[in-house]
Amino acid sequence: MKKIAIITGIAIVLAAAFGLYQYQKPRASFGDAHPHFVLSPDQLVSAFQEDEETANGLYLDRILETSGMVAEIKGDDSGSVSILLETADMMSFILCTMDMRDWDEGGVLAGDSITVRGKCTGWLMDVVLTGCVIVEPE
Amino acid sequence: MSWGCICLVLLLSLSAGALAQDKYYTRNGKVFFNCGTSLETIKATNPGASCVLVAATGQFQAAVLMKSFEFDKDLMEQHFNENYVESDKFPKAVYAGHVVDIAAVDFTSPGRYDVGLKGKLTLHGVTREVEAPGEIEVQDGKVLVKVSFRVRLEDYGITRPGVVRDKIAEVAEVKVDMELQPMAGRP
Repeated sequence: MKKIAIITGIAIVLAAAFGLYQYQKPRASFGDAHPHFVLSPDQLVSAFQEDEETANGLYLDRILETSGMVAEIKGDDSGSVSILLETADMMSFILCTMDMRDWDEGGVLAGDSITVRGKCTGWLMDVVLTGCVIVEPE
Repeated sequence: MSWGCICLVLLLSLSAGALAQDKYYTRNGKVFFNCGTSLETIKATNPGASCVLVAATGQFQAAVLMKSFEFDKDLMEQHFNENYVESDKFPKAVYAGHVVDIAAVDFTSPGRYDVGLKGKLTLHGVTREVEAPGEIEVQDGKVLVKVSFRVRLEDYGITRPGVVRDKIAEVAEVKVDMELQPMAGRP
């Protein structure tokens, strides 16, 4: 009886510790994550322009990797950096947002070609990837 | 027509007829929200808000993807999207309105103005009137817009389960911080 009580107690403590760990776990970085899809900026924008619902079903919350030319980089006081990647469409970009801590200031300039990996959160004026990191192409 | 196209068309048609230099926009504005209590810190940042302001008329429209709100904790972000704002069902929030006292703002020279915004916020499938104080600062070549308002979660059909009711504020504080640039060439 005493043995069962001890085992139950240990199980409860372990479950509570696991729950606390899960709850406190910080946002994931996608630098080491394997991308679910590797697509060009044009493929991504076309997919959302042609059928947003289908594209949402395919790409939302998925880790995407895309390579393109930097149109604009903007950092701000809130600790985030946004990078726009060119597409063939004059109206739409790939908007990549990243934490300033993942950003190597001066490492990338407008006009450079880069590969980014981030989580797709949908389509507004652009296809939006959040939590991005700049990576070597897969 | 898809939601994205509707959004784009709304943002662009909003400014149709105005001169190019009268329109200001951003595609990476910031929206912050805080609905924590003394028991729990619940705040998030959305770095990808789109916004268009028409200087001549004061028309103002902003949109965000709900899934672009970034929390410090993974699980909190997941709960926000799945249990509260239901981002799969209601992927976007849109504010459409106008700057009430736009005539007082001189867009041709640097200056800072306290303004008021009046419009409708659509969130979680519910549209309600929202009036908010704001600030417009005209700088060389850009316009900074800051707006803050409060959102009562129940007004938008967002319920707080009893077990976490004490941890989630009844009213969320929302702050908008946009750096708009002239719409020249392409939006």
